[in-house]
Amino acid sequence: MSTRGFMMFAYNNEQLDYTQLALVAAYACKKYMPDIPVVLVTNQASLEQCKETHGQAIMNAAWDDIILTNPEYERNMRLHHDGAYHSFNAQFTNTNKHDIYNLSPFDETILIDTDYLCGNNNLEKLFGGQYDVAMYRDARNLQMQEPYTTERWLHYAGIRMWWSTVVYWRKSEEAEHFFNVWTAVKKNWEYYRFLYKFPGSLYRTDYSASIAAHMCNGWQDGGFIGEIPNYMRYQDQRDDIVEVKGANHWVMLSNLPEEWKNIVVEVAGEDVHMMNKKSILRNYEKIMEELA
Amino acid sequence: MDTRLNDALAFANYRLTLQVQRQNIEARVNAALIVSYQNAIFKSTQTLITFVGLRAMRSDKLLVEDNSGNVIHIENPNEFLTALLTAYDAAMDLKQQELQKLKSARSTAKIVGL
Repeated sequence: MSTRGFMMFAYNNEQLDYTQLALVAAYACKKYMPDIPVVLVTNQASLEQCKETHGQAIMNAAWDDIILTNPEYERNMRLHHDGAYHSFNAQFTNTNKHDIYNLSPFDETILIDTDYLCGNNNLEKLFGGQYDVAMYRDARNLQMQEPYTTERWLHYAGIRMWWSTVVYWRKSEEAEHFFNVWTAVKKNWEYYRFLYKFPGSLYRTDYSASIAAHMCNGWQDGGFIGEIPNYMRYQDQRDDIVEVKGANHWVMLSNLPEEWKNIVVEVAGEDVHMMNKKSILRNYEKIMEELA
Repeated sequence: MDTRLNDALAFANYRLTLQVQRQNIEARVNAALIVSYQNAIFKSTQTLITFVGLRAMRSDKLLVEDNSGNVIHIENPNEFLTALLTAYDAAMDLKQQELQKLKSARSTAKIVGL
């Protein structure tokens, strides 16, 4: 029997307590897939802050193991939104996500972002599957609409995007190729940004994983990466939580730029990628109470 | 604003919320229809259930395409059929219950359970 587990990265910054988000994400994993271990990857400073703020007991309940790494500081400022009317800039430490292949103690791993909250046990069905690497290809927002074009394509005449929010892989030659190419794309980001013609200077792991998938597949689409069934449901950074009704039951406000289109949406029983991280932190106590 | 227009816009908001909620139920049902069997992922549909049921009855060799188009040799068709039916029944129960709740919701707040 191969070893299987979840992993997540969390490096705190001045604006966001990523370890707090990771506690919520780990609790959600354990709620619906209690037999699957969860491992956190973080740095010493974030770990100390987590111990001080949240205490060892809650950390022990959330994570089966903690791996300490110290990624080299690379300026990667990201504009975050907290609902429709507030935004802020924060350092985004995601530059070592591709290292997960070597960091993982498992034969089969599912790497999830700390703002991805499981609402059922569908992810564990990926273990032992037919693919060596799997990710989400499609996503839907709270109103069940497709994301903006830049979240679906790297360029209007370019390649399709794969979401790196959830990455499943099995230790294998194929998966190793994928992560090695991802590493090479990261190291030569400026070149690949020019080659694949996407805008902005922010290092996006969705884009580097998509390029790695494209290259590993012989510079064509499809086949190499397995698609996680259905699509990834997400709450946009401009959306907010109105009420936490249960462990996987939310009433949320869908905020579109056109205010007259704003509506409340009830989401239940689904995994949700909660992009408005502060909305999770604001409702931390209630969410943890439901997940415990 | 004209009261009649206000009422019409409130109704439009109600209709949009209702439509999104119906799609949400569909998303939950789709998630519930996923079956993991013999290291492959299948969606439990009426077509698949009928096909597997027929082949199981005839004790034929059972080859089925999974969600990604891989052909899987099902070693125990009856057990597979049970797994498909369990998932299908649970998903339909869920859908029936949720749609029933929605039927009686006559306001935007009621639709989302507020």
